[in-house]
Amino acid sequence: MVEDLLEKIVEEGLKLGAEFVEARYQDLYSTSVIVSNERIESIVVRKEEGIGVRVLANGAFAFFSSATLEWDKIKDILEESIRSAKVTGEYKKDKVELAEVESVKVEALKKPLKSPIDVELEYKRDLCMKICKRMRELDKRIVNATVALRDYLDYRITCTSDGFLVKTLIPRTVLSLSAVAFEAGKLGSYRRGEGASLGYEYIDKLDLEKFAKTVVEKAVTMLSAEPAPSGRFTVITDPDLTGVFIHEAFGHACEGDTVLAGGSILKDKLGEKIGSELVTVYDDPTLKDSWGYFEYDDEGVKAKKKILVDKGVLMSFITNREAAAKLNLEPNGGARAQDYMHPPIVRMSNTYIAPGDWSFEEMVSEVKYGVLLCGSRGGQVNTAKGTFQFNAQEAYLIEKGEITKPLKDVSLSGFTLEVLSKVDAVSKDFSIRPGTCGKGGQGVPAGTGGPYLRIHDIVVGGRKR
Amino acid sequence: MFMLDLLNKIVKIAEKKGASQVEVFAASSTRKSANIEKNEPKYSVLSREQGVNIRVIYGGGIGSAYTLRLDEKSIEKTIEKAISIAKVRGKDPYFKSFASPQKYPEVEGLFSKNTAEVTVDDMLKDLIEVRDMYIKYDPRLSSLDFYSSVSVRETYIVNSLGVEAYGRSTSAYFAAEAICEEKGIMFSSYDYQVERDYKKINMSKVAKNAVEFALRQARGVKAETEKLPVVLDPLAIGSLFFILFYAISANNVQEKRSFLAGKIGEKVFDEKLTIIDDPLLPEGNASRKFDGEGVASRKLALIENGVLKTYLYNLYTAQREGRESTGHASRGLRGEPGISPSNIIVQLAEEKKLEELLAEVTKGIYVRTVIGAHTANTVTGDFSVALGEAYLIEKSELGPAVKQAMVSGNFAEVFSNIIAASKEKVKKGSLLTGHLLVELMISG
Repeated sequence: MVEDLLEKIVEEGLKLGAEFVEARYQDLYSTSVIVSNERIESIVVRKEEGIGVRVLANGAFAFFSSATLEWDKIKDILEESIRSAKVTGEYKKDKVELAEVESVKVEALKKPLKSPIDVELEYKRDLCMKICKRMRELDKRIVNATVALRDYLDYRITCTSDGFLVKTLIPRTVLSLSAVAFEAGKLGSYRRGEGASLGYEYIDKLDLEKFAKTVVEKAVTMLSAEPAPSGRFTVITDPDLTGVFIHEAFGHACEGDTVLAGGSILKDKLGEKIGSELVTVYDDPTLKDSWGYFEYDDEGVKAKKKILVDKGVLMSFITNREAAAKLNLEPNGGARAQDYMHPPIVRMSNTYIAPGDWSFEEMVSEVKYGVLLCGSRGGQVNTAKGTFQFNAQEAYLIEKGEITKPLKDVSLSGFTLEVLSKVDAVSKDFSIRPGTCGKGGQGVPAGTGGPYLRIHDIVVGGRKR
Repeated sequence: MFMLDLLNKIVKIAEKKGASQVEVFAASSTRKSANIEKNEPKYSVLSREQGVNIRVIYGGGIGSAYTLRLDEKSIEKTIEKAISIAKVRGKDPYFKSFASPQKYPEVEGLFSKNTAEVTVDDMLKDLIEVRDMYIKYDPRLSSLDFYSSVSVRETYIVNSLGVEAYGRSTSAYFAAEAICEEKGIMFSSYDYQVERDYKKINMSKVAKNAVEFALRQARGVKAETEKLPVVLDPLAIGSLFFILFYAISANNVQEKRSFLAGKIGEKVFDEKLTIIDDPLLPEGNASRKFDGEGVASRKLALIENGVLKTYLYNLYTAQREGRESTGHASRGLRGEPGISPSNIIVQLAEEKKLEELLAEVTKGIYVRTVIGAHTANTVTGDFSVALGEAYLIEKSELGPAVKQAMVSGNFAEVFSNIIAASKEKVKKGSLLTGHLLVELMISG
C-alpha cells in the first residue's frame, strides 16, 4: 500500500534526524488530443505515479522526487536529502518554522460523473475532429483551426510527520480552440479555453457550436484590426483581461513566500488602502467545479476563500505553513505543487475582482477617447518593482462613448498600485476563465476573472502615435 | 551496455506485436539545485529520472507512449499503449519512417566532469561565498537571491532501422537577482549564465551585474511616447527571438500559423543580418551530436543576408514536404517530438564596438530586459511588451533608468531595419549575439 510507504518514509526521515517530513504521492492520468486542420497533431496519454518528499532538518528544507517506489532507492535519496538539508541549515541563521495547524486525516475525493479514464480515446479524437471541421466550415477565411482537448484525473496523498493524512482526487477537463484567419495578406488570430474541475459531463454541457463560432468570428474580426494608439488613455478591460490583470499584477504580489522573500511591493502594506474603494479581490479555491478548485492544499491544509482586498484595503496574503509562521498570519491553504516532481509553493487558485453595479454600456458611454481590451495571451509581473505587462487578444477603439473599430495586438503596462487606484467603474457582468499559472518552473491550473473595469490614464502600448 | 540491450529488446518485442517500425528514446538524468533567498540559503533539491518513450508505426499510423519503470511488465504495457494510440490515430497522411542509420559528428565539451562531480555542499559553499562578496556592497541592497543547478543527462535513441545513438551531457546554471530599496521604492535586476562546465560559471560577475544594474535604477525618469533608436541587450534579444523560433518552426509554417510561411528565398529581414543555427559549437549550451530522433546535427544558415533560407524540421514535418529533416527534433520523455533550434548565432555584415554603437545614439534607450515577450502574437509577429529594465543613453553611456514604459513593434519590421550591431558577442543560454540598434515605438 502506498500509504504504508509514505508512513515508512516519514518514520525513517525522523529517525535520520529530520524535524519534519512531508511525503506526497501522486497518481496522475491525463490525455491530450490536439487536432490541427483535421489532422491529428498529437495524442499523448500520461499515466504516472511517483512520490515527492520534503524534509526539514537543522531548520532548512530539502526536496526530492522519485518515480520509483522501491524502498532501497528511496532510502538512499532520503538520506542524501537530509544530509543536504543539514548542511543548508548550517549556513542558515533564519530557521524555517511551520505554523501549527491541527492535523486531519481525510479523504476529499471529487469523483467525476464521466471520468476521463472511462471515456474512449476514439471519442476524444472524434470530438476534436468534429469541432475542427466545423470551425473551418464557418468561414472560408479560416486557414487554421486547432482544437486541443486535455483531461486530468489527479489523485494525491499527503502524509506528514505531524499527523496529516489527506487524500484528494480532482478531475479537470479543458477544451481550447484557436483560429487563424487570412485575407489579402493580413492575419488575424484568436484563442480561447473553457475548462472546469469536472469530467466529460462538463464537455457534454458546453455549447460547442457557440464556442466555435465565437473563436472564428473573433479571428476574422482581427483581420481588419488597425495598429493601436500608444500613450496614456482611459481603458476598459473585459472580465477575461480583468482576471489576468488581477492575477498577474496583484495576485502574485500577495503570495506569502514572495512577501517573505522581500520580493513584494505589498510586503508592509497589510491593512493599508492600496486601491480604489471599488476594488475587492478574492482568491477562492472553494468555488464549486471551478478550474482552480481544491479542497485541501498540498501540505494537507484545508483551503480557504481569502479576501485579499476589501474595498481598496489590503486584507491578507496567500500562505503556506512556512510563510504563515514567519509573517504571523493564518495558514489559509495556499501551498500547491505542479506534480510529485515539485515541492509545494504558495499559489493562487481562482483569483477575481468582485462585481460592481455598473452596466457595461454605461461605462463605455462616458469614454470620450479610449480603448476596450478583451481576452489575453497572458502577462508577466515584477512583484518587487510592482510593474506588470499583459497583452490583449482583442482591442477596440472607443470614441465619443461608442465602440468604433478593432485594434491590433495591444498591451497594457503600469505600476500595479497606481492602476488599482485609478479604477473608476466596475460592472455587474462577471465571469471566470481557466488558465495555467507559471511560477518557479511549476505550472498549476488557476482561474482568473472579474467584471469589466474602467481605468483612467493608463499606458497602452500600440505601434501608432 | 545494459541500456542499449534493453532498447534493442524493446524494438524486437514491438516488432513481434506487429509494429512495422519502432523507435525507442531513453533518457536518464540527475539534477541538483541549491538557492539563496533574501540572503539566506533556502532549499536544496535532488531529482533523478529515467524512462523510455516508445514510438511505433502500426498500420500506417504513429503512436507513442512512455514509462518511467523499466521492468518487463511496464515495458510490455507501454508498447501496447503505443500501438493502441497508433490505431486510434489511424493511417497518417505524411509520416513514413523513423531515421536511417547515419554518422554522427563529434562535438567537443558536451560533458564536464566538474559538473558531474559537484555536490550540493560545494554548490552551497560557492553561493555563500558570492553572497558574502556582495551583501555589503551598498546599503540600499536589501536582498540577494541566487539559484544554482547542475544536471547530468544521458540520452539513447535506438530504432528498428538500425539507429543506435548515445550521448551524455552536463549543464550548469546560475542566476542572481538583486533587490534594492531606497525611500520605500524597490528596484531589482538579474543576470544568469549557463555553461556545460560548472567551473566556467563566473558567479561573481553574474552577481555583480545583478547588483550594479539594480543600483543603476535608483535614478529614474519617465519616458515620452515616441519612436526612438533602441539598443537591444542580448537578454532582450533572447526574449524577442522567441517569436522567430516559433515562426521558423516548420510545423507552424505548415499549419499556417507563421508570418514566415511561403517566404523561403525571400528577403524577410535586414540584408545585413545573418542567423546561423550551430549545433556543433564546442561547449555550446544547445550543442548536440544528434537530435531527438537520431538525426545527425549540422550547421545551418537560417537567415543569410536577410533572406530566409530554411525552416526548422523534425522527421514528421520534413516528410510532410518530402524532404530531409534538418535535425531539429526536440524530445522529452513524456510527449511527442517537437521542434527547437540549437545554438543561435547572430551576425551582422558590419559590426562595430559597443561604445561606438552607443555613441551613435544622441537620443535613445538601452533596453536590457523586456517583460511579457511570451505574450507576443507569434502568428503575426506583433509584440507589445513592457520595458523590464531600460536606460536613457547619454553621451555613449547608460544614463538614468526609464521608469515604466512599453515598447511595441512587429518582429519582421523591426529586424528589417537594423541600424547597427556590436562586435562583442555575448553568450546568453544558447544565443550568441552582440547588441543591436533598431528603431522602436516607445509608449510612456
